[in-house]
Amino acid sequence: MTLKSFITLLEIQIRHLMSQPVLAALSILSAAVVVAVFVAAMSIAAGIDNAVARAGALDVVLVMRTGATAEANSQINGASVEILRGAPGVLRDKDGAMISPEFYSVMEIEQGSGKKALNIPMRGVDARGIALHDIRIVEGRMFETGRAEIIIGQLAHSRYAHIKVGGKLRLGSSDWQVVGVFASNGTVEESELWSDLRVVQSLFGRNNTVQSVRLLMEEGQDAAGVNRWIETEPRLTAFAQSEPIYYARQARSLTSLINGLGYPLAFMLAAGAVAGALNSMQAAVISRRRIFATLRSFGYSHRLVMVSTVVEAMVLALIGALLGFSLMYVGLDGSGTSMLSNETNSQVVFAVSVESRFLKQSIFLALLIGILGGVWPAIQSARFALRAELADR
Amino acid sequence: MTHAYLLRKYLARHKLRVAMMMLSVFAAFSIYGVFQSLLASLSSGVRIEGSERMLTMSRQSMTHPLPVAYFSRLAAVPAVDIVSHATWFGGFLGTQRTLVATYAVEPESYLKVYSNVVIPAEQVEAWQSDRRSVLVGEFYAKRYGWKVGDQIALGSNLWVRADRDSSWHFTVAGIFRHQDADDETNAILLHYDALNEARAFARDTIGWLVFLHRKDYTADATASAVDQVFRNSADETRTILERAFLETFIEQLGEVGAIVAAVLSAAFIMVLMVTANTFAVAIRERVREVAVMRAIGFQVRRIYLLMFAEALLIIVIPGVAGLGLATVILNGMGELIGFLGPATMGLRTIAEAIAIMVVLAFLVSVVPAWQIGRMRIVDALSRA
Repeated sequence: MTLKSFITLLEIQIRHLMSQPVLAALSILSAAVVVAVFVAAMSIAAGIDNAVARAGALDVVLVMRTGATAEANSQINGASVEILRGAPGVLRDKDGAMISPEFYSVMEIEQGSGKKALNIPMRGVDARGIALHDIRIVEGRMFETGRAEIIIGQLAHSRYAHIKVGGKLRLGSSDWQVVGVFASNGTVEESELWSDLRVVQSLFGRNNTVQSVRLLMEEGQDAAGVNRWIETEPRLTAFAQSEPIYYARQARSLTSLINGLGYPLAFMLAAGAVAGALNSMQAAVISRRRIFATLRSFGYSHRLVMVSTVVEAMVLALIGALLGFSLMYVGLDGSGTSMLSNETNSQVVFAVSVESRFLKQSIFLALLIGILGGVWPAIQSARFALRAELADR
Repeated sequence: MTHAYLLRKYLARHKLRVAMMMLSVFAAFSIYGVFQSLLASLSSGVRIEGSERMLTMSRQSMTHPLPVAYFSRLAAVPAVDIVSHATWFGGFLGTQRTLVATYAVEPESYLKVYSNVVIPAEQVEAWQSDRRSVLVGEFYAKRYGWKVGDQIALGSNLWVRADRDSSWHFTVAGIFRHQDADDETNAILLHYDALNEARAFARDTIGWLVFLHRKDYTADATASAVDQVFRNSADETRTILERAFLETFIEQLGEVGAIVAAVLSAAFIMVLMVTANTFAVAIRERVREVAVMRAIGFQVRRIYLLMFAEALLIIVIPGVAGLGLATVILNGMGELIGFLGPATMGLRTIAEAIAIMVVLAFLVSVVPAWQIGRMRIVDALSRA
């Protein structure tokens, strides 16, 4: 088989394709649908991972009440916080153990007329706590200790247009001043409102109870050591885990919807679309059977005719994949969105991330669709016998 | 030549094409089934709240507790008819920590407020008289094989027992349904006292109050009257219609839900479009054949009927099988979607799906058939 005859063959195929735009469009559409659905699912999962699974510092251990699955449903009283200051392996400086007791609660925030309230998490931290977290102010200033002032995470700020720096926010029965916006490498902390721990505790009537305590560990010390110590300390009902592990679990609970529902559905859809592509290709091949029969009588080999048909199917699927990917890229990439977390019952804000690596996967998927949808019609295309086709008229 | 014979011949002519069309329809309707059931289960909560049930919760946050004393104070408000209260238990089962929707409620009044619950009176009495017993929804009873009299053990991700025991033991006193069979029954109701006496902290607090307001007060007037009572106390309240509250929840499910919905519905429509087109092409291919049939005396109406029947077979059989697969997927998902609760396929969803199938079958068969049926026989016969 020469390259030249193959190109001639492809040219003939393409010319015929042009005369059957509907069939070509259906093949392209089928592939586009599959790729679009897969890219959407992967991009949402990637967005959640970027925000949640990458949060947390390796040298920080998070302590919550035994049995709590998230900070929102944990509670640690003031006495326990004091005991935790004596935990082994915690870094210490002249001010004592480097720990951060933190308030965490879901706030209902009115969005203004006609819109429903939003559940946004609020975190109360003290000065030491701020130092423990990797955040920086990108607009306005840090809240002042002892005042009802709030800073808002960058992701939340870009999502909720009604919360402005310099504006007021009513939480519970008190008014708060929004004084700044903070960034935290695009992690889940940017979905939160932050304020001074003591102020939050007193305005919300929580005495000195907190939801969690973060411990900054010395090098080589980990959560296991803290847990062994907690077991010997009957006054504590708590357990420790590394911060990244905590966030990875939170991410899993968010992505479980996509993994458990999105992928099975995308897979079913792919099967349906491949079947559709196969039918379109089959119809195209049947309508060209006289040409195939003629070509064969000119001496074009079985194999050449088959290969050109499969290549055509793959090209169509590829066009579809590029179309599907581009649509998702233009429509979804970077779009800020939010999702209600099951664990904390509050909004987690993240940016949908249509990553370039998905393009490679889309192309791979397209080639697979092309092959699956093209091989059987290709076998058919090489089978038409000239005499039978001409006699049919 | 019977119709059945002709139908068989039609289907056997392009076996692969028919199989592929069926596969597409199967896939499309399995997606439809899963998705519609999820949506229906979300809105089922809202639909039953057509009654004027109202919720009073902490103004700070719905997760912040209220003092139990608010129960009797609320009952004294003139606008309030029957009142009850509930507390989220955070229940889970087994080592897998499968979440189950569990509420600690005030047993005397709760079923009066939720009057759409259907349960034999003796089971209610048994439950009310034994504080270590629970009522379970039919959905959970079926899923976990619970029967009246069974012992069950729950864990809680929220409450710690003062005696440090990590599991809570209950007897199943009764199994309840809802009046509307399509509504989800994923709930376990335990006695508030059972929780309150055993827990190590936050004694004498409740999650929220739920009540019916008197007919001669509007919902808005009731809400402000209630919230006025607790104004300037340590725990100010927010009172809203339960329906409005659930809508907030659904809205907050967020745009991720909206994106997924948009992508999937576009995909559903496109897969059906591709199939419909294939079918319509297949019908148009029969121009000459239809002309021959008409020439030998077939009534045009019978030809249409035959084609419609063929389309019905190709669409309804795999479509219904797809709904079957959707049920399996929904079952497997279990509590994956958490507080949304489990979704089962309601009769409404099935009826809607079948309606779509029939309309689709009509569109892809009778419409193209009508076009070729109108042609003069001579013209049709001379067509390629």
